[in-house]
Amino acid sequence: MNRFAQSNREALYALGLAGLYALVWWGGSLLEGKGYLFGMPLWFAISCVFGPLLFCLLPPVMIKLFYRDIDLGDDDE
Amino acid sequence: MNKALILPLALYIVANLALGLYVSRKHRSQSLEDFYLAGRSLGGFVLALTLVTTFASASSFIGGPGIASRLGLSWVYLALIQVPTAWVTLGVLGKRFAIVARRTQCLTITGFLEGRFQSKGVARCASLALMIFFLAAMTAQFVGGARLFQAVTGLNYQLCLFLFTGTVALYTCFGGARAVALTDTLQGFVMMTGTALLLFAVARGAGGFSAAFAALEAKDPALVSVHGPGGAVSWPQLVSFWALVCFAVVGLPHTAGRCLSYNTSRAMHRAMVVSTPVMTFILLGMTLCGAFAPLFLSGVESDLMMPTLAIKLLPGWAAGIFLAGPIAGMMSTLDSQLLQMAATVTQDLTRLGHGDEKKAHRWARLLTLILGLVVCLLALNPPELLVWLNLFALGGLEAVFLWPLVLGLYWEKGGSCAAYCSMLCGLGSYFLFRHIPLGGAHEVLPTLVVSLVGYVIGAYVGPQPDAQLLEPYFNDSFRRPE
Repeated sequence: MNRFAQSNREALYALGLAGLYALVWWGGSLLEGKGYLFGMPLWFAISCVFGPLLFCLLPPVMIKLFYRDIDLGDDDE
Repeated sequence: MNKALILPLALYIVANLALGLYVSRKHRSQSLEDFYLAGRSLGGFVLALTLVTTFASASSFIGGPGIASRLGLSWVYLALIQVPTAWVTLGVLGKRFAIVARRTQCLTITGFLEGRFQSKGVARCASLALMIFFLAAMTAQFVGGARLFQAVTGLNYQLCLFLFTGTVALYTCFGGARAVALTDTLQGFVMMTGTALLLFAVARGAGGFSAAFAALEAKDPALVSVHGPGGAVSWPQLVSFWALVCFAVVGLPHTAGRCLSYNTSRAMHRAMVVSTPVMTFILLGMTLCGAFAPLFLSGVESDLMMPTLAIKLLPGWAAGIFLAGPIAGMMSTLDSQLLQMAATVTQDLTRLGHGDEKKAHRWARLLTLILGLVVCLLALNPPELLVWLNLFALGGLEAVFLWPLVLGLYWEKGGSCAAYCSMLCGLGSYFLFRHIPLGGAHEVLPTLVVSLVGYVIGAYVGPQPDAQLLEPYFNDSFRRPE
């Protein structure tokens, strides 16, 4: 396995996940004035509570699916 | 002066010193890799906490929530841009950075730049920028820390300053990066505990979160809007903040330095998993407390809002723990900066003890102490120039380091000319954009664009570096000749 190619891919996935987060964070703001959830304004609940909560759970998923355990030193082979 | 308040703080200071001492006893190795990078042996959990706490500073506890008390939920919204910061920092520099750094045995970010661009000049310029901005930022943090200490304990400013600086300089000098990482972990726990305590007290005081949101809306509907009272938090500001505190953090030398010190790729994975919730909890918890603060207090100066709130809502011992939070935030940032600065001086600016590991190690420790002392003296009576420079520190470091670091790592094209162009254009335009109205956007956003363009132009115009010397950076199957 080419470790460089793999880590390039991983870097892109990390950026992609951040982009996805930004999308949810921004999207929530469109719900301003659209009611309440658990006593919080709906936009706030999505952008600032449940969105971030979801994205605390996604890094492990990303790592499970796309990240590989590789050797960081050179002397193994 | 409140004894119940001081006890947790005093205990906490002692615990930090004890940890530093313990580490220096346990690891008697005198290698530089050990001192600066904890022997590249950090595990995932410690790496996560040291990364988060290095990034979170006093402003996460005092400054930010203080602003949230004026701007309501809009500031919470702005702060939560930072949720991805930890996984972006670790992920973007990634394993490639770790592999290359091991191969080239580089100990510092500036050392990496020197090797990649094959130029001592690039490293010197970067080191100089790092020294200047770090000095400014650290002085400001020390001043803030000592003032907070003073406000809480009633001791005089000089004494607070010496206590505070002395602690940080001593444990960093004793234990190097291992002590920094361990104390950061302790500090992370203190920060989380403080956040949880205050959040709980605020919720209880307001009669539950739903009631708090309702009361806030009744007070002023603008406080629960996306853009805040008078549209204070605009989209240009939000987008540029995203660049400043989330994306470009990859380029901060003291957080990027963390990406050099983990032991295995598994540790990095684990750190990505652990750091995000910790970061989110502290950010959301603290800014939310700040946003709810006007329900309990009025007419308090922004920077005193959170300490006053804690003292009002929490019993003495708990307020003490809470106040240790911002102190921890400052310490955990300062120790990393101190270490990074000592590394830069010994590795890149001078060649103190070069070739003799033992001597170099002694110099590294000595310099940590000396630099700590210098910053302490500066903080006694901060020169105006430093106060002014501090306003530029975060963005300035990003303008200098981000592209040479990231593009240097991933893009084969570009030699020293590209790095120079990127750093100089970035820094120059940063100061220039300060004076141009940008419609509410922070000047770091156009600055990063300019320094990117500078890099690309420099890469095409300037000479290519020696392909052979680039091998370790771009050839996966490169092996060091025996």
